[in-house]
Amino acid sequence: MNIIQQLRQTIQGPQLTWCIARAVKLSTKSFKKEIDLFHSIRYNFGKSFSSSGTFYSTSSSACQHVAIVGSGPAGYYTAQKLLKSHPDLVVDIYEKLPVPFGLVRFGVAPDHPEVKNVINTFTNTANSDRCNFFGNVELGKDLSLKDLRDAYTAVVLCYGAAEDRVLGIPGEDLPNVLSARSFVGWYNGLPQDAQLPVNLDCESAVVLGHGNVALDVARILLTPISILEKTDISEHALEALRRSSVKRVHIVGRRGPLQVAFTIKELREMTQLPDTRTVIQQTDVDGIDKYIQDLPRPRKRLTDLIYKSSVSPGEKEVKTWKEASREWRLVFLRSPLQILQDTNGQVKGIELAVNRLEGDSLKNQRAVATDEREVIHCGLILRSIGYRGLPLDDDLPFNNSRGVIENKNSRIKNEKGLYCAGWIGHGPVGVIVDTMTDGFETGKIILADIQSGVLESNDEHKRQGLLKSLQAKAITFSDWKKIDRAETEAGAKVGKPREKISDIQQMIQIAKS
Amino acid sequence: MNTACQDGCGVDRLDSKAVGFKKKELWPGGIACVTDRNTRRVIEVFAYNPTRCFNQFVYSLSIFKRLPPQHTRPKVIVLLTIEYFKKLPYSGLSGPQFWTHRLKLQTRSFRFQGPLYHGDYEWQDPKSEDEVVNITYITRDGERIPVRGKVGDNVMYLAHRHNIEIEGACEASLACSTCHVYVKDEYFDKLPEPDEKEDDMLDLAVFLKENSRLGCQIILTKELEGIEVTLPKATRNFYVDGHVPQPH
Repeated sequence: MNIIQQLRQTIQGPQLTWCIARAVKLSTKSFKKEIDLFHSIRYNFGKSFSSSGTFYSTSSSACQHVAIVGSGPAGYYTAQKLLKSHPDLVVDIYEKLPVPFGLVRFGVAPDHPEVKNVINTFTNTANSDRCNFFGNVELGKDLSLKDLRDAYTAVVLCYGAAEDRVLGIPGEDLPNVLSARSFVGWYNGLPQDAQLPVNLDCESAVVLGHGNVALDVARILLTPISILEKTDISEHALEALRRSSVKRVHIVGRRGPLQVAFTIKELREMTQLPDTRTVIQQTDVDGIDKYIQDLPRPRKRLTDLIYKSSVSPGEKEVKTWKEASREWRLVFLRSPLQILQDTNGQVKGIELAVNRLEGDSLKNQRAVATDEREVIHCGLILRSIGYRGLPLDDDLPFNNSRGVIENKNSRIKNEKGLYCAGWIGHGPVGVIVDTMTDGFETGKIILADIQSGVLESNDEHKRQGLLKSLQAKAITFSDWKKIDRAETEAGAKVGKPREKISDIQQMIQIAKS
Repeated sequence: MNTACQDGCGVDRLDSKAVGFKKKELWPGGIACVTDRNTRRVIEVFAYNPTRCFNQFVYSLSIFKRLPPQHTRPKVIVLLTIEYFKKLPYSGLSGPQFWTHRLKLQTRSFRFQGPLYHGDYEWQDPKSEDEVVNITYITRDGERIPVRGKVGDNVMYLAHRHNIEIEGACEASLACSTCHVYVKDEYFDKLPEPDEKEDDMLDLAVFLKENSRLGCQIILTKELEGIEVTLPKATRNFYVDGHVPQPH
């Protein structure tokens, strides 16, 4: 069966005629291209001809351009919504790094490749004629927010949460007291964290925080090398982990088992780690079983898993745990007071206050320190107590306590034509589905504002001028494809899906070659 | 050790070393063998159990979840009895883009290269009325969209074909809940029980209900004729403890 027959089966009407006209021009040698074309046709036709029910003016004078700052999930999902629901709107995505996809590339753990499949969706969006990518362009350095606002109908800020929260306790600046965020960046090949001084020459590590990032870093510390070396983990991290002597990881949280912030999939993975024992003290979960039945389903299943892992683990788990050479412990009701150091200035442990919970509603119970103290000996401390966003510009309304831009339904307060989506808008919580919904909603709101005439079309000359000034520096999406190819080829040589390049200069060199 | 199919996908896993896959009685329905292009060694052998749904077998193969990631250029050889070979969709063995597939039947063989995507099966029209399974999607705006699906279609990919707004971020690998749908009760009960992994993902879905399922885990069968799935309202949700609607 040839490509035309295949096309005939899937596309009908005038689209088919056009596709066939294109397809017959291609020789059989370029089968790969045909398939590529076939899919791009399928994708683009499917999306732009969709009956969204809304009609927009299609005259060229009213052409709308939207700038998106940040190329992570929030940026790409907002772009997707805008492109899908408007027939000729153009989206330009600006990114500080030369490479796209934000936390999907630099945040998602290397042993979760299936989560990264979303890159295919984003690539589809990026392949649209109406979507441009400009990497290696930093807002505030290469161009200002004002430049963007002058040149575009609307500007959407999707630059995420750039900073992590600190504990503010003595000893936090000691070597080997690291933010989990940097540690994640380190093993995921984030350029700024590639040189992070990580010393894994200790038996015991402490991770502070009960979120998914805490479980991610703990899992990377404990996963057998034979598994990690087949992932796209960066080579420097793999080398360090090969020599690691970490055998025990304590995951410490202020509150109890009913208040943990991680999700069930990540916890289940921890309980099923090869050669690793899960230790949850029975005294910590005593009595929570009576609440389980009345909890909302997600919390109920999560709590149930914590309880069962402690009290009655499955046969398979018991067997693995018995023979395991490594372990992780889930520690509740402890607040860090100070980090202890030995005479050489190295971390030797952490002093914790024992807490009790106060308050009626389980969800909002507060941790209150008692007089009791406890010390965990360890040589590595990873702080994973949340991220926070940073203001881009002093003039933007910013909520400092939450670390988010002040906004209502993505519209930034008192700033016409300025929007935000993703973590910078609602805070650094939630998984991909939440950011997706947020991105779609933001796209919808922008389209509604275009429709109602709140937003005027932009000055195309200004935009062209701006793009021209960035031309030499910017990395386009086809440049990124060169980097992508170089990385996958390098990875194939060592049996990895990809060997990430963590040097910005090297990225640019490949992209511009 | 040979492992019998555990998840209802109709794929038994055969051990290529211990029990030779050359023993034909072990795979009465057919066999798919994944080999490493460079070393020519067999990586995985899947056997089709003819008592199961054939389309699910094809679909499961397309995921190759069990394939070790170091083999980036595997060759897939499918040996099937002629009866099943005819049923094999032209591009049914869709895998990650860079893989090359080789389909082979005894002396007849053909080869094609290039990127193929999941969901290609759903882009084929039903070949006969016997195959047709009607499904109705109810969109977020309450619009009812009737679709003529066919046996073996995946509800998420079928929606993609018909421009119905269901996402599929992780491409049916049970790592997200972006294809969350509600299934009309009478059909909900006919579906196979969700996998533990699916339940774990559903816990993160926006507006979870009793009849929530992931679209990518629903494969159409004759029994599901007339099924109705409803897309959940798209509303922001950032709570681990289930959604708390906010007044606007």
